Amino acid sequence: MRHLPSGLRRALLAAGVFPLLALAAPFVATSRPWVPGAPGRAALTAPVPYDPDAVVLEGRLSPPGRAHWLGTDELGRDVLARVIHGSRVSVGAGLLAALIAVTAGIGVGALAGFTGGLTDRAALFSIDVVQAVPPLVLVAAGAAFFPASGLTAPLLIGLTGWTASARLVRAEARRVGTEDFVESVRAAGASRWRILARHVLPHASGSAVAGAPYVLADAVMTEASLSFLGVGVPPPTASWGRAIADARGSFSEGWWCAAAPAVALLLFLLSARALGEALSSLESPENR
Amino acid sequence: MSPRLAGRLVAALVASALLGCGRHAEKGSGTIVRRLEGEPKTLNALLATGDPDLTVLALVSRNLLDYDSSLTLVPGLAESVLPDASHRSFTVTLAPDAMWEDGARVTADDVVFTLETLVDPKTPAVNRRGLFEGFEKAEKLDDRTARVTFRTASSTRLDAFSLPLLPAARYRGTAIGSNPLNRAPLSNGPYRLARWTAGSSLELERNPRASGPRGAADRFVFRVVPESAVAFEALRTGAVDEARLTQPQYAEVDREKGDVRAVLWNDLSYTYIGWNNRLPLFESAAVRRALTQLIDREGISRALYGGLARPANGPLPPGLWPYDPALEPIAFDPAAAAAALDEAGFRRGTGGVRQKGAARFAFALSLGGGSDVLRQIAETVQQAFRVAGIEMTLRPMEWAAFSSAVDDGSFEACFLAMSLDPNPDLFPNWHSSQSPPNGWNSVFYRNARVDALIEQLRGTFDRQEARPLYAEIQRLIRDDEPVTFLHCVPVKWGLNRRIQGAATSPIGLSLFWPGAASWRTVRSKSPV
Amino acid sequence: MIGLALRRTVRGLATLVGVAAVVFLLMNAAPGDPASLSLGRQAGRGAASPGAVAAFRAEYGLDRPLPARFAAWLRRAALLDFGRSLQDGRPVRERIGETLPATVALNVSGLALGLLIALPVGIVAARRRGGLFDRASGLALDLLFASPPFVIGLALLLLFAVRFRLFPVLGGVDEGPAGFVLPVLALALGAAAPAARVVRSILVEAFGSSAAAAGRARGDDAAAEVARAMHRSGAQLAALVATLLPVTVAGSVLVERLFSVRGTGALLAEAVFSRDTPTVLGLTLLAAGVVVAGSIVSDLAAAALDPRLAGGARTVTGPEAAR
Repeated sequence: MRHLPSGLRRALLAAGVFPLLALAAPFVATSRPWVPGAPGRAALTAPVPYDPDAVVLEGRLSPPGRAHWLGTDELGRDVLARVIHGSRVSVGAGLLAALIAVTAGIGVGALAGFTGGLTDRAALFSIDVVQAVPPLVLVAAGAAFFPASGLTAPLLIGLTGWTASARLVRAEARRVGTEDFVESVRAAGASRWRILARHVLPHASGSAVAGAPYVLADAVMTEASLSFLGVGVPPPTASWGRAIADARGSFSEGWWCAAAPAVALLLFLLSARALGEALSSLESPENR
Repeated sequence: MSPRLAGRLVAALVASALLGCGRHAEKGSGTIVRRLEGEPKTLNALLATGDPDLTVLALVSRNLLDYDSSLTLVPGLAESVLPDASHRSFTVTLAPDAMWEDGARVTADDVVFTLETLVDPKTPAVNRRGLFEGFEKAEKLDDRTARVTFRTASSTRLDAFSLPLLPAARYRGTAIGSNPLNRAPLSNGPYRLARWTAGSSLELERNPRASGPRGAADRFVFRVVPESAVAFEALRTGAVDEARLTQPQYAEVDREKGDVRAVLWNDLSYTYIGWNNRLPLFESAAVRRALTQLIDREGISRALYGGLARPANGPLPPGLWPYDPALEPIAFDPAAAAAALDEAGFRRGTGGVRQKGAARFAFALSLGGGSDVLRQIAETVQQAFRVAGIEMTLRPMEWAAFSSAVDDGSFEACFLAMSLDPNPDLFPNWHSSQSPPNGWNSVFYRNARVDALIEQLRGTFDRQEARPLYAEIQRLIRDDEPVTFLHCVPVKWGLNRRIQGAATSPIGLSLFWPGAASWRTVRSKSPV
Repeated sequence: MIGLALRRTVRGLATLVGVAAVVFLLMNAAPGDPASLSLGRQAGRGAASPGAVAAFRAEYGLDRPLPARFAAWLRRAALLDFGRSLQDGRPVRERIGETLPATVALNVSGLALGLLIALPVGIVAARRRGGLFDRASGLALDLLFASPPFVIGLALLLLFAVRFRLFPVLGGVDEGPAGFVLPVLALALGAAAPAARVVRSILVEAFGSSAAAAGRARGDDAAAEVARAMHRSGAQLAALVATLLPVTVAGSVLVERLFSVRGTGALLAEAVFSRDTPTVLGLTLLAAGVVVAGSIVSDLAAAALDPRLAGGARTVTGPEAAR
């Protein structure tokens, strides 16, 4: 990591916190003690000793305080525990969408740009079509097809978000394909697939990777909007978007229910965007 | 973009600029601004199904007989509707002054035409058709009298005459679904349509040819406000005069003591979780009762309904005349439930989930739409079940997919609110012959005694005789608990204090006579 | 150039047909029956009789096989007749005509205002890259960028309509121009955040180019430098506008819903959820048409400015602009 530019290093650190949090959620926020109590020894509880889904109707909407650092929601569940567990859905959705989009984008783009001809035209056509379908139609169709789950948003975003990176990669692949070194490798008798895998892909995929954080941010935001329209992850799973959307009916009673996930969402998006900036400045011509 | 479209665009922009703030001045003291959740789909009184459609039509289109606020049938367009001794034939006598907005009299032709249109299988009159099952014929006796005959007698028959009319002269020979009057209805009620700005608002003015008492307010403006939170702010700032309230909104109005007052009433609905009785998991009544015993309905009501909701005790809500208040709802008793589940063979297995043989007690609860409270209740129930060793996942569905699943009976468990007619027929929902695809008994409930009682009730015309039969049905269904009856939730509405004369009924603020026709405005106490 | 225009138009038309086919398939494969949804139903309470459903299907041709229906639709759509809505039986063109003005008014002004905010912010930030303004505006834009659109809208509404009562709570034609202020602002803020970012990065590159250095050497003042940079980046800026265009007809569901403006966004949502395929197709085609036209125009503009691009590569402004 030492040879990375400092901006990128910082961005990676900031953005890396969230996947770690998501992975650690079941240990950080759980009612099960880390070390069970025994006679003469107090139990060692988790830092947030609550389950995210434990409903306590008597303790609903209690403001942030000593027992519940970020308060409780409209069903008496610990908001902090829910925000921590919510990272699994929100961060997971973002990462999955980015992964799908980048893989599909690089695959389609490189193939189209390098092969040219009919493949290229078919790829361009499908890119055009996908880009022109109104997102709402896709979202609604997705909501109708897939059972409500945390996968809907990443799938939708992944399946639509690849077009931008595919265009970039395709242009790069075309450029690389005509360069001298590729010609010479070809002349040396390397197979098309080998050239594609060894020479074109590595050169062409940089721009797609740089765009990934934006796809990621888009996926998180779409997940939030899906929840607003009532077709996001099924309850009781607490994605940040759902938590914000669910709390809109009781802003005046419990602002903290919306504030905590909103801040988490904000921080995550900002770190993703910083990562994107850092990656694309790495990609920009002056650094190449 | 076609030139016509472009023209419209420019016109709309210019109009909006010119009208500017003028609209506000027009909203004088005699004008009441009401909120609609969506744009009405049709103002054809026979085809209307949605709340927005019916709310507007209640002021424009009267029925032959109308319900009053206590759900008694009172004369409307008809002076009287009288059954003969067989209860199969009814004589409809129209009021002498009943008149359409264009000056034509309401005649027996309109009655005959409306009924024949209604029973035509091609007419999508979803709301009304059920009540006219067994219709034989309608004949004109003279201009003001018609006779309607049915093949069978039924105790809910008279309620079918809470029926709007279509003007035969304007509808005959046209396609009923696309007649232009569907968007510009011919009024026979206290108000008529003055203007419909597509997508935004709808205005009613007094109908000068209205029969009977005239409407109290000068004008009604209906604004389409889809989002509940926005409607609430519009209500508080005086932009609309009435809106339905959610529980937190109701609590806030109650606290504020501002320009808005809250009204509450019990309607004819209850919420329930339907168990698909065909599935092995839910085939035993003992298991279904145990599921109900696991749910703390009182506690849920205290937390989520401010204590206003009452546990439902069976298939009839308290606002209905045959409701049996003496019937105790199944009590909250997790210990008894656990014992009953053990008894039924569902014992705790690996991971704490109950199993019987290879079958785990795990299923999905389907939810439709986006009601906050229903979702919260589902989450609470889920938690209670989890503690008891039952794994219930929640499956929120888009409304279209959800209602298909319910009507096909292709769900494991579903969360619904049921809303009944003022004189309910239990046949379509509880008779065993009405399981999907035949009717709306979507939980596949089957009880021979209940079937027999329902059939007997259809031929029982005296309410005193019917009461004990209804009581027995309610007890049987509670004991079978084919669905878990959850709550009867009062409807909460906010009204600006300048609105006077608003009465409530179990069917709402609008859908009875005179409904909103008696609303009037007084000068606001605090200047807004 | 004419050859390119022709090629792009043919490709554009093919794209439209492709989009229509995809949407047609999606709408018909989704669960939920348009007939019983349109005729009205209440779960567990009643729906239209089989006879009424059959009559409805026959009337709208829903009883024919999918390929035949699509072919028939395509033939009529070629003459700009999009059929009748399954919801209320009125021509789709009429329904779109009713909702489009509000949406276009909202979104065009929202887009214009968004650019009015984005351009100066982006220019100044790019001029003083790394300066105080760049960092402050960057933070503000990041905050906007990371706020879900419904949060921005709700905040505006609660602040300016409820708290200060400067604008009506309910938007739309009924309230006159005042009713458009808040939704336009909400849309503008949503558009400004990504747009300002793109403007800034385009201009940073332009200012850093050798041409800009040459200009400075010639003694260009700041204004001239900005003007030249803008001119050089014309194609990219045009592409930015083109990517923001589709919303101007597709509408923004959430903003329309929050501000009680019934535009094409609301119409589309309603049509999608009631499986009203003709209306969905009409709106889709309109939105896709704008996208396609926008991309053709921006390709041609790019080709005119830089003949090397006539080969086919398209200017891309980064995925963020498409949001």
